[in-house]
Amino acid sequence: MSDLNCFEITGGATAEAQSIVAQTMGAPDYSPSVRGYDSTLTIDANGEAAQLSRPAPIHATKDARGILDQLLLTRAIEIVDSFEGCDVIDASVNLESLRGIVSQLWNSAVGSTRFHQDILAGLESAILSIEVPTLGQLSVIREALTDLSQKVLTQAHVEIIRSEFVSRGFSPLALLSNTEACEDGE
Amino acid sequence: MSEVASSKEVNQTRCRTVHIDTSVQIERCKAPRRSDRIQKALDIFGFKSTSSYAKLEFKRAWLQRLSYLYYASQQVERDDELIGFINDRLGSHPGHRNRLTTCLEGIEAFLSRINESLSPRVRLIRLQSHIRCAILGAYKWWDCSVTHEYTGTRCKRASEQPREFLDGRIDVSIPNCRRNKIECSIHRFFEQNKSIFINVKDRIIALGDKASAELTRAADIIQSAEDNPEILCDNQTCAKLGDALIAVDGSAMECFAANNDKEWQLLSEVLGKELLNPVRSTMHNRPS
Repeated sequence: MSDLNCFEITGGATAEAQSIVAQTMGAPDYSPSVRGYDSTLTIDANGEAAQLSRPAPIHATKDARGILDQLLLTRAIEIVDSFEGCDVIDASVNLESLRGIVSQLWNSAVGSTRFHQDILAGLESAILSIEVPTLGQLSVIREALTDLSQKVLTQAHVEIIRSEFVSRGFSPLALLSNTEACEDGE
Repeated sequence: MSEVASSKEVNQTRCRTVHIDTSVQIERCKAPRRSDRIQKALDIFGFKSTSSYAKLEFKRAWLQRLSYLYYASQQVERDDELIGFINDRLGSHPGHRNRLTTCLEGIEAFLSRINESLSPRVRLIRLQSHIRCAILGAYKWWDCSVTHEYTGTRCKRASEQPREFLDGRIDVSIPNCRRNKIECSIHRFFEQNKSIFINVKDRIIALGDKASAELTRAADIIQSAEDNPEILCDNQTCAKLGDALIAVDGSAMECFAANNDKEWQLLSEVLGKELLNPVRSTMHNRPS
């Protein structure tokens, strides 16, 4: 996971290397013109690690504005699809991976729209507040990830996802509240 | 268990009704580790209600403070500057203690769950997004958290949900209400339930020094409103009657759920309700 993170933080890779990573991870091959990747990438034996040898050029950052890291999003959707039929241990492992990916998505979210950031915040709040997701919760998590992979989002997307999260039992305030045992009222 | 027995049990569960105070609603929307016990205690009730006045208190006690945290986060460049910024402005004023506590708790809770590998600037954007998400999603959560919301006072300020302006600012303001421009029905609500409010007042007076400061203030307000209910049409005044307004609004329910026992034990007794404190898992039976 940290390798995936490294891949995003540094901002890009050559089209060829990107294609290798994408194929190894089962992700689609994203065009360099979309991401503006233009750096040297090294990949480990599993094909899951990516490391840049020099910083990405400025134009790469500009091209990538408005869109979240597609490789991370694809990976996240794959993980969400892997929950079905897995036991509690596997679910915990999957969830922890998902949390790591969502956390790293913030690097690309900084340059995206407020709508992307709002959906990402709702998603993160949700996955940080559950131990084992229900099928219904997984459905809305997947929907949020799918929305995040869109370049253009509107307030309507945000409102729909927000409603979905609440109706699946997620509290939007959970992440900003303390978790200590309560002693007294207001 | 047979199908018939199971169905009967479901029906019995559906029959149980509870009216939930602000203090419990606030606990319910916190992190699962804190809210799970409360949710379980409330699960036995098939019908859960709250009051729009409780929503106003929720907005004032939590959403407005988060809104300040959001504002503060927009004034700094890095997340690690935020605590200093808030402390400088709220820390030295005793009247700001509750607001400061809420802001610091929010930051602490958030920081305890974030990834340190992100840069301070990215962490700040992330915090801002989470606060925005929390504030703008709070009313939706509130609506989904209960079966019904009583609106006896028709509180206009409670009905005004947080909104975001095009420039990214968030409006969680609660403008002052004045008697020369009445926009709610609190005075009519008081008239309709006057005998109950007077009973509440009499019980508070009977308690003498044992009554909490909040109850004593409520008794004074009821006394004044007996002759002129329109004095309640002022945000400074109605706020002092908060718990009593919420309780009377939900007087059709069987049970009250609250976390501030000092006030709610008396209100439950006067209104003949059971009192559940799901935060401490205690139940007071209704008086015979």
